[in-house]
Amino acid sequence: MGRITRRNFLIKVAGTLTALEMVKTFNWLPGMVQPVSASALPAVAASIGTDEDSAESILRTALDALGGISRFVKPGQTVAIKPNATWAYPPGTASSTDPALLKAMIKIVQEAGAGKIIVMDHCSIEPGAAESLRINGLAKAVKESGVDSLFIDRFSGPKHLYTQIELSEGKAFQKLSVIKAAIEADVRINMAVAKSHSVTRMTMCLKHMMGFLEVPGSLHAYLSQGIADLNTKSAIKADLHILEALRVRLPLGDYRVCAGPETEKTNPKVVKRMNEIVAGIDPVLIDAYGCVNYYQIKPKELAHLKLAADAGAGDLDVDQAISNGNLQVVKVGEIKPTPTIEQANSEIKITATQIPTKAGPPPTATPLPTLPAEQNQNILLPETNTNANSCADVVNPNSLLSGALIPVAAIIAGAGVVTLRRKAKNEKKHEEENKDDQPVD
Amino acid sequence: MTSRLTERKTRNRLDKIARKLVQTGFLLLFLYPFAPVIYKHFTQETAPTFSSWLLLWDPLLLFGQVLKRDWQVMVIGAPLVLLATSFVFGRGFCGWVCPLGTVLDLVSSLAFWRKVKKGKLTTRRNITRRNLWLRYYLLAMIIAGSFLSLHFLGLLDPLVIFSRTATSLVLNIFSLQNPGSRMYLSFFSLIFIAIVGLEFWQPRFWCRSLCPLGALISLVSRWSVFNREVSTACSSCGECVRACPMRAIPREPHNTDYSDCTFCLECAGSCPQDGISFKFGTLAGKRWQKKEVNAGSSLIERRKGKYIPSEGKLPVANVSRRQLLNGVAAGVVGWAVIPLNRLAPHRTLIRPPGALPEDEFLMTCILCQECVRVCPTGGLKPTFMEGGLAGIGTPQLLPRQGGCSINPSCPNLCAKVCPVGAILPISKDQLKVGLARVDHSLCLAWDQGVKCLVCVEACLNNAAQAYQGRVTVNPKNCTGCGRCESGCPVVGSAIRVYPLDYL
Repeated sequence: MGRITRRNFLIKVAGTLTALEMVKTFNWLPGMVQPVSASALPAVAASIGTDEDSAESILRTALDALGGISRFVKPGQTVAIKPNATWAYPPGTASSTDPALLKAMIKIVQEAGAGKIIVMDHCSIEPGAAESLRINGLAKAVKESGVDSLFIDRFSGPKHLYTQIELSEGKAFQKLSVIKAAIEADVRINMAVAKSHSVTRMTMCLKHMMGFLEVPGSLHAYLSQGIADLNTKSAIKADLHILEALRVRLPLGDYRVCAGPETEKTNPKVVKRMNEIVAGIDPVLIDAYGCVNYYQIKPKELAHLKLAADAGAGDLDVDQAISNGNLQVVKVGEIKPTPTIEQANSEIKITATQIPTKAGPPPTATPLPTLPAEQNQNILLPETNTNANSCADVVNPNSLLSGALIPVAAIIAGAGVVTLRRKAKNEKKHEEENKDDQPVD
Repeated sequence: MTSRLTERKTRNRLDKIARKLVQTGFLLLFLYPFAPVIYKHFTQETAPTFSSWLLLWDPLLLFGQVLKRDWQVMVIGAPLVLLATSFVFGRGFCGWVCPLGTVLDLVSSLAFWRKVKKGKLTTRRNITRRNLWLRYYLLAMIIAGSFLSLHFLGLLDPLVIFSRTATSLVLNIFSLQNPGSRMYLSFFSLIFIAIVGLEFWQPRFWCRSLCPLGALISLVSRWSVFNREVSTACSSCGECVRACPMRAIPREPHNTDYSDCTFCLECAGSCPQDGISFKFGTLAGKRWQKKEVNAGSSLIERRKGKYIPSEGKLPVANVSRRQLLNGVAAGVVGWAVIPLNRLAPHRTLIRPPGALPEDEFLMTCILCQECVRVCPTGGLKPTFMEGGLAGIGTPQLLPRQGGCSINPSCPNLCAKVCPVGAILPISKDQLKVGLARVDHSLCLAWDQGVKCLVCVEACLNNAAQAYQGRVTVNPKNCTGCGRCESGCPVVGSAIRVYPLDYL
């Protein structure tokens, strides 16, 4: 290599940059595998099952309609699966991902030949990751599947597990700290549960992505915009979204929580069995479909959904998506689903619901609200579930030992006294026998 | 003869190794309750929570509580066993079991300037048996003070000191999220550091001269059944006197002060004649007594003295009037110092659920940090200066670190591990430790109209409520558990829990 002149240097830098740019957009070579175009395969597929269908069969139907798992997972790839493992409520309460569904998902991904699977999520602070996982049954599911897992206690995860990513299109947030292993994975699968939520009204795929964040609560300052930002193009963007609507948690008046002890039996107004799974690459469309079908509200009403659609994260119009084949609705058992528009329309029931008026203009002078005397009188509140989540009790030997050891103490001391007395006697005798005994010669 | 000598030398060396092994074994055993914390840190899996395996054996705590009459939480059996064992094996506990003693022995080997070169005798000079009575004065002080408060008992009890230091070490490394509280934990490990520092000055200085638990055991171990026997091979070279780290051998090598001897076997190893052995049995039971040597005796007798077995009476300590008065004075000081606790100005803190009323809590808590160790959310943290001087090291609930989870899931762990009953068990309905208040100028919902409402989501009692997009707290429902504060996205939290009497 010759001397570095300014001219040489500039030429080389330009050359390198060009090469890098070409490598970055790697589809300029003839015969390169082009990404599957959206027109060929649907972006979202919803599969509808019955009570008899297993979670796995419903999931498989949805994925088949999308073109099979091989569309997303190539052999040898590292796959990050993010179920909802946040809450410490048992399966069937529509609080966390169904363990059977997670197992099915892992199995399907394994069949696709994934090199490594990591199941990850943040767990609620209360009662902590380990205990939550035990109660919601996901620990067992992961263990039986034999895959890696990374369940981090909220707020207490070691720093080295996280990395900072940039959201180039973010409006409220440009930088966020997320789980490192998720970024390092080749494929990210986001498995959300259709639930109500106290702030965003509904929790579905878009909001569920917050579980990847180091401090999920940090988005709450601009929650709707934050969720939209999180789903723009970035390193954390999930490749496959799955909305679990096997059981749906419905809002009931003011009782809009994202987890609780109710089941479809104890409180059918809150937890409803739907036996549906929506899967796809467009989280906005999935959520919009969820809004229309499970909650009977217009997708536009959800602020974060609208903002995400505005940011270009996906399509908000369910009707149009169905008509142009971008969203397919299939029933379990239908082998090659090609639903016509009329068919699809008959599946979907859009009901106009009375929508509560939006909250007033942003407060400048904040009036003190007067609380109504008694709220939530007519609402079935959850019965307290005491058995479901109990922390491991302390192993405390005190009470056991206290009584048992008193006789032991008495025996030891008694033995000591006896030995001592006998010894004293012997010594006296001994001394009388040899009075001149001396230890020193 | 030489072969027998080497044989005994080997045996002595084996004894030493055996003692090290036993000590390490007990140390690990007492550290075992900390293992789940480390296990959880690395595997993120459920692990059982253990209460301390060490504190329940503490007879000093038992005595303190007898005076405070907290019968319902007292553990009598284990400390009594320890005392009974001391009657048989003297201060064997201090030499073989006590974890603090083990740490001191480990540290002692670092003191290179005390190392003995091979073939040379011990380097230690100026062996005095001064200061030995200090520990009895300390004991008198603590016991007298226990009538009112267990505070100084907790500060000076060696087992509590060890347990506290271990907790602070383990939690600092494996469990704390907030670096700010590291200092809190380390601060009162200073006593431990001071004890270790003393070890470099004189071996086992703490155990010999200061340890109040050692003093308590000494009262019993004076009549130890297990004995040190010096054979007639003794040449009175004094090597064992200098080797004894406890200075339990007075000028006369045949004598042993069993209120000090920990049966550490150092003297047996140091004896050039190999005339020292430890055993039960007739000969071992003899305590030799020096006799006046008459003018007509042989030369050797006159040089080395004349010994006869003692009368076989139980040795009774000679307490001089001065020592007795000193002890009484120490007791009075201990009693008099306690009310200083009350004088210390303190702001009220959020105490653990079920804690005694503040004054009584300060008097009862021994600062052992057991509750801090087991708290499942990590919300309990030791206080630094917030509670005044008397409050240093007492636990408080810092909801920002994690709320109290007694409501849905915690089975009242802090009350269950408290060795002195400063925290009493309560049911989850009785929880009322504070009151949450919203800072309207910080709250996103109030100040910016953002529908944040994380606190509403976190609240399990329907106390934090959303009303027209703002957060309000219903004081009737609020238990002060602090789940809202721990989740608030605002830096420093816009919703904070205040103690109930905070105005």
